[in-house]
Amino acid sequence: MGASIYFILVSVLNYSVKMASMEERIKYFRTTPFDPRFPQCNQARHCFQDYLDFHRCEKVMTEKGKDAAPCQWFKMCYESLCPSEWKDRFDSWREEGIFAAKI
Amino acid sequence: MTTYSRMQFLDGANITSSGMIIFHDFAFSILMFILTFVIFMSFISLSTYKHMRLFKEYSFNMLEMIWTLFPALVLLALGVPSFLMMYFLEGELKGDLTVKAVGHQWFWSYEGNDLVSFDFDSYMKLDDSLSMGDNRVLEVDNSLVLPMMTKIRMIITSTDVLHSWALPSMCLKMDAIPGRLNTMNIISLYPGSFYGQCSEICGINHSFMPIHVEFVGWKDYIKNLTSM
Repeated sequence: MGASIYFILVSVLNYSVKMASMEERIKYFRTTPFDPRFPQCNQARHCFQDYLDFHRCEKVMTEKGKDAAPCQWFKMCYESLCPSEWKDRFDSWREEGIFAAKI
Repeated sequence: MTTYSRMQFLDGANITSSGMIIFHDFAFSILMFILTFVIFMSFISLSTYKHMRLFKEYSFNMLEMIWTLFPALVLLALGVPSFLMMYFLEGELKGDLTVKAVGHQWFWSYEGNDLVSFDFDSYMKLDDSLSMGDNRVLEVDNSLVLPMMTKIRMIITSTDVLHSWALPSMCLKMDAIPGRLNTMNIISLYPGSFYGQCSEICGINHSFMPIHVEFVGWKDYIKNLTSM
């Protein structure tokens, strides 16, 4: 138990010191942020919604003749959340026209 | 890693697991005290039952007060840290990095899409390919490399049956369920390699799909990612 208390103290100290380099990490990495619509442990709906948002966004932007670059945000989100197998399955459903939502 | 000579828990590798170990020791000391006290008192009252008529003839208000309040205080002392630990473990769903672990019959595959996309399967090393010092049925061919001191959002899912992704030295265990993307956070405070095993019976090779995670510094992690 003494060892555990010591570890906790050392860890907390270390963590507070190392937090300074967080900016460096953010420079390298961007991952899906927390979404208040999906606070639950199961993020399946979050993955689905981001996939849907990306394709809706792309469709609307191309219809209006605008640049679709801002839609890449949704793509980044769904790519980091969805397993590649899910993504492939969604793609094939979309191609067959049996995707579970209206794009 | 657990070996035969070990009497206690694995050393905690992050704050939550150290907290859980401390809470266990604390609760255990209280329980041992209660056990000894009850055995002692029952022994005393059995051996001196002839004097128990005193209790019928007199009232001991102070004593009644004590034996009512003392258990309440003991329950409070057990309950408060327990609830604290529970809410501490819930955590947030934020992360600096997202990694996905997908369970298959009978191997794990890991995916990540943050800086460099990677996707690999990690199978158990067979006995023939083990080198000196390797742990039997715990070593894998491609281990997952993660940065330490970083809040990692781990997404656990499965493609066929139920599996469970576990890392005992961090007090983590999460079921892999097809159709669900279960999320949990990992922060390792130390570099090193940590082992786990599939913890939900998933078929004939359930015992042979270990989990091996290596935590390295951030620079080594980037180096590893770019070389993948």
